[in-house]
Amino acid sequence: MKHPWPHFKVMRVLDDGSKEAQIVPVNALPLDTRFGRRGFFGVGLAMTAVGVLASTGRAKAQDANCRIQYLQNGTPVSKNVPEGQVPSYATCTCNCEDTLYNPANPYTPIPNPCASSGPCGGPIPAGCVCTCNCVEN
Amino acid sequence: MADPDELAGSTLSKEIFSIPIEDGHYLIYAPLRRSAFVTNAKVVNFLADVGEGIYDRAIDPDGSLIDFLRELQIVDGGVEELPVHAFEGTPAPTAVTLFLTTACNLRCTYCYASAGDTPAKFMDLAVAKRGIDFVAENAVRQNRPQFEITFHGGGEPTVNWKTMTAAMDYATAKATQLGLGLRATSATNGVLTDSQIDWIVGNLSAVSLSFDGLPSIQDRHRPTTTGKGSSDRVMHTMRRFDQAGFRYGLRMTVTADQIARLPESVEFICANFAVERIKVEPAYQLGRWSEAPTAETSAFIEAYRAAHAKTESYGRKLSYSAVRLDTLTSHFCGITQDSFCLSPDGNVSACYENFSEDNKWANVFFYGQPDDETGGYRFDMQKLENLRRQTVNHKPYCQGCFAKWHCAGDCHHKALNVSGTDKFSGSDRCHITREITKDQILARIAQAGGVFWHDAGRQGSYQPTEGKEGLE
Repeated sequence: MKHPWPHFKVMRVLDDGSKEAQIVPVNALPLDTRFGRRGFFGVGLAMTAVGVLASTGRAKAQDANCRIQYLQNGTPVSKNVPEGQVPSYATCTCNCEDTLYNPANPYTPIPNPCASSGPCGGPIPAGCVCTCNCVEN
Repeated sequence: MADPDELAGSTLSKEIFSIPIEDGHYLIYAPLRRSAFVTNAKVVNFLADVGEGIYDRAIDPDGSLIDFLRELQIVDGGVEELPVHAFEGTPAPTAVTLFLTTACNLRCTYCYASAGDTPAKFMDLAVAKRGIDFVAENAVRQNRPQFEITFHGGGEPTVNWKTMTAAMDYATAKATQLGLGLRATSATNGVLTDSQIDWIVGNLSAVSLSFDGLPSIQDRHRPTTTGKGSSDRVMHTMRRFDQAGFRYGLRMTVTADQIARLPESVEFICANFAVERIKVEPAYQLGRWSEAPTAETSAFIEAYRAAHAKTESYGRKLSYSAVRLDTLTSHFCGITQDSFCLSPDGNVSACYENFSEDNKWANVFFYGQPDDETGGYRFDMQKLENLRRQTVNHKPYCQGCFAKWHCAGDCHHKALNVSGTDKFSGSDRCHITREITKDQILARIAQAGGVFWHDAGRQGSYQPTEGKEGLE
């Protein structure tokens, strides 16, 4: 039986018509998955959001803290917070489609409590990274 | 953010792969950077352009994409050291594998060695002693803290019990005499007496035990010489090992007719035994199984995924020999690393599957013989150099494959059987390897937070692989 030669080195591919560069989140494979990887991927993230996640990942590796980012009275705030001490949020002013993830328990994607503008749908779990614009209690 | 004017000299990692996956996405994987993420076609084309020295500002107007790629060391990551290590000179091994016999107390349907169908050979103690002396003295010369001895097939090593125990006594005395440590391991089919189990627990560091899971499968494919099932005996051995806290790994073989039951088999093992590591392989189409239907199929991949999920839920590890995401190497096994195995007649083979001088590819894998003048061995350096060259960096077929630094070109012996020459041209195992490797990369991304994976602490470098498949 002939086996085609593998050609996986990076080369140009057919454009899929997407407007921007995107990174596609990968969810944990459910333990009961039997066939393939359907449903394994989330909605594509714009590079600006990914940049924040990349730098927070680096921060976590360095100091074991989590970085949170939010708007405090209209001013962007970015700070490291020890895991388990991330405050909850009462209000949220973002139109938020960002993905939340929890470095302490990355197998479980966190439902984003900020469905749209208006009050947060619930407290953001301790240790998670929020790239949306929330107002701290 | 990156200054576009500074990007003209950006360099793309040479070892970077774009793997089409589900839903029109691409998995970008840089194995030597330990980096991966999933993306769309825009980014793939952006990367291809960077590789050509072109920076497409329209795709990355604020420089955040190039910043991200630098963060992952995919762009401007510095020198990319290939994990290639070539052995040279006269071999001076510090580990010996003794193929104690071609005889066996089982008649497994799929036996690669056709054990029991060929004239039985038994190793004499003198053969074992010479091998032990050779590696122990090499260890002293190299200031190594220990030497190693492994007992292996073609047949069941414990069938040559007298030589096995005497060789172990001799090796222990030798280690004491030279002030060295000794690591001793064995493969076994687990059909043992209680006194043999006691001896193994008391003398060996670990064993690789062959067991196929559900008793009905074990009895169907691994019967005794009289045709009886072997599951009771083997499970008794495993229970004794568990009671003693003895370290052992399982080696499962899956035939085409049993693929669908692999998850059930794995669950049976996890629920009833304490073994932590299970290695599963599709049955090799060698020996008694050379004409049987192949198990190297997509069905195996699906069954492996389901079985893997079962083992994870029990906190155990399931593996397949060619998928090793944490290993970056040019060597699949010991054949390229001067593996030193002695046949029952005392000649030197590099391959566990070439245990006797009358094997089909013996002229390729047997590279040495006893030297009565020195008491050591004479090596055929031409044959040895040919074996040393069977690393993945010398396999043109593999150069475009994202899994190459993990599988390292897979098993040379199986490739010879598939292609009939040493010009490797792929095998059905390659598909299995790529799919499971992909799974593992995606799982790493998910575990790292779901956006990207970058293990900056473990960049590409030479990492030796064990020559003793199943004895990790």
